[in-house]
Amino acid sequence: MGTFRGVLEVNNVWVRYSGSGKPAIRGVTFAVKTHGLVLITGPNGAGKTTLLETCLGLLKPFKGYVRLLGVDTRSWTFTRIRRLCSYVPQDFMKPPHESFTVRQVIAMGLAPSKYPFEPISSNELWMVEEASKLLGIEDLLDKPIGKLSGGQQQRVFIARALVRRPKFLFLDEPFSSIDRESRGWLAKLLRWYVDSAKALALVVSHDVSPLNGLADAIIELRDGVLSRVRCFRECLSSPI
Amino acid sequence: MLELAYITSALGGALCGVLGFYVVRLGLTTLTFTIAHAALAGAALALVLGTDMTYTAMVLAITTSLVLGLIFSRVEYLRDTICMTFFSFFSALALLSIYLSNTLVLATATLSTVLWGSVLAVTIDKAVLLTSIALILTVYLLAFKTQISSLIFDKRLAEAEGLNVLMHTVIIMLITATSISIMLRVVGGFLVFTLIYIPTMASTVLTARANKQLLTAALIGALAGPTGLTISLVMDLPVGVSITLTAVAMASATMIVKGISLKHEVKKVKLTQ
Repeated sequence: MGTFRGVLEVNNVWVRYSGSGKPAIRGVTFAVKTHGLVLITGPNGAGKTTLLETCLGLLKPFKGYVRLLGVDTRSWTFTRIRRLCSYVPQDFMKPPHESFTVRQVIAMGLAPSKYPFEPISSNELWMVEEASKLLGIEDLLDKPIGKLSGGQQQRVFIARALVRRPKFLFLDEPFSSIDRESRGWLAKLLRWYVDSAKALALVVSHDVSPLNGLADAIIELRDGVLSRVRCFRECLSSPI
Repeated sequence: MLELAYITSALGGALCGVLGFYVVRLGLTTLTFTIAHAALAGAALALVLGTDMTYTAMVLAITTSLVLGLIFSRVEYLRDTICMTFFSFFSALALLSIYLSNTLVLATATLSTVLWGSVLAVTIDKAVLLTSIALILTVYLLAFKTQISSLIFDKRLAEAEGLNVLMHTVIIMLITATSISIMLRVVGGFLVFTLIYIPTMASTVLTARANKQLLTAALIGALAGPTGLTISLVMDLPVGVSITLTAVAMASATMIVKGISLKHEVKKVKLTQ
């Protein structure tokens, strides 16, 4: 994998949901210079998920801008940048009638890079199996995702995120359904991925403990504004 | 002519069944309902303008799907309400057009085609067009199989991963708009969406697997069309109504069959315990 050369730039970002008067985040500014693991934390309703989805371009700021690798998230060309990103949403749970197998769901992560008529190759299927082994779900590969528990489903989505070998990982509460004993192991896995792939991981979590000593920076939000930034390694530049 | 009507109703039924599967899985149900009414308004407008019913319906349905696609790419709020506003407008436009059309029209087969469909309304060029659309859809689904699977599994996640959700949604809506416009001649404007929703509902009851749902929806649509047509001919009923009632009967039968098989399964489990 190539060296991570880009930055994430969040400049005076204000985001409001349609139909809501009050902005969910206000004047948030920070920049990430290099690869690393950045934890976004704060109490419920602080705007953590909003900030994460804004960085990924799923939500558009009405004031300010977000640039990933120098490309504005509002630009039409941002879809291409998203192909370098992986996302694990907070509300990942699929209903019991969802019949796609775990293998299919993980392989779907490779879909955006496919040309028309190009099938999933045998090498990619091997990558799917390797990603499942990393998350300890190799025995579930042929089971329908809807039949799995919340914790198992969350592992599937993290495996899907990793199989894409992304340069940017956006994880929203990735420990929420994982049992307490496995959280530390998952945090170390994320750290390992960030270092080996020279990637940037933005992790939203109200629980800081799994990433204690592993995060390079912690961004704290409170009531939609950036309340504190702690840097343990040079990956964040000071607020613009 | 009758053979053509049978072929068109079978092919159109299968096509609408397949489209229905994607429409439901992509959460485009209300949008499709609105597009169907845009087609109805277009067909009714053709009575006033003296233009071809199918092509006028197609112009309005395609324009509506593009306009709504554009609005939906920018607005996440009140989408259903926006669709229902368009639906109300198109219903009013359809009724106004019928009112303004030549009074003689009210008694002719032309109007009955708009309202409840007609076997005689299917022509070779429309059948060829429908076949072309079915082929285009097949090629499109084969070309983007992996991408579309990702899309129907989780649209937002697919978007976050860099899939062009808007492009795929618009393609499916355009194919749906065109198919509805052609099938409107067979089933009629007020019931044209029958073949989109009912086969999908029945297939969802029958099986949980996505690929089987797709095939079952196509099969139910392909059966409901010609069966309804036969009932219409034998009992001298409007063709659209006959096809709709056949589709509803088939969906009810699948629910009963599923209910019985579930009861048997529960009994088996109880016996083994």
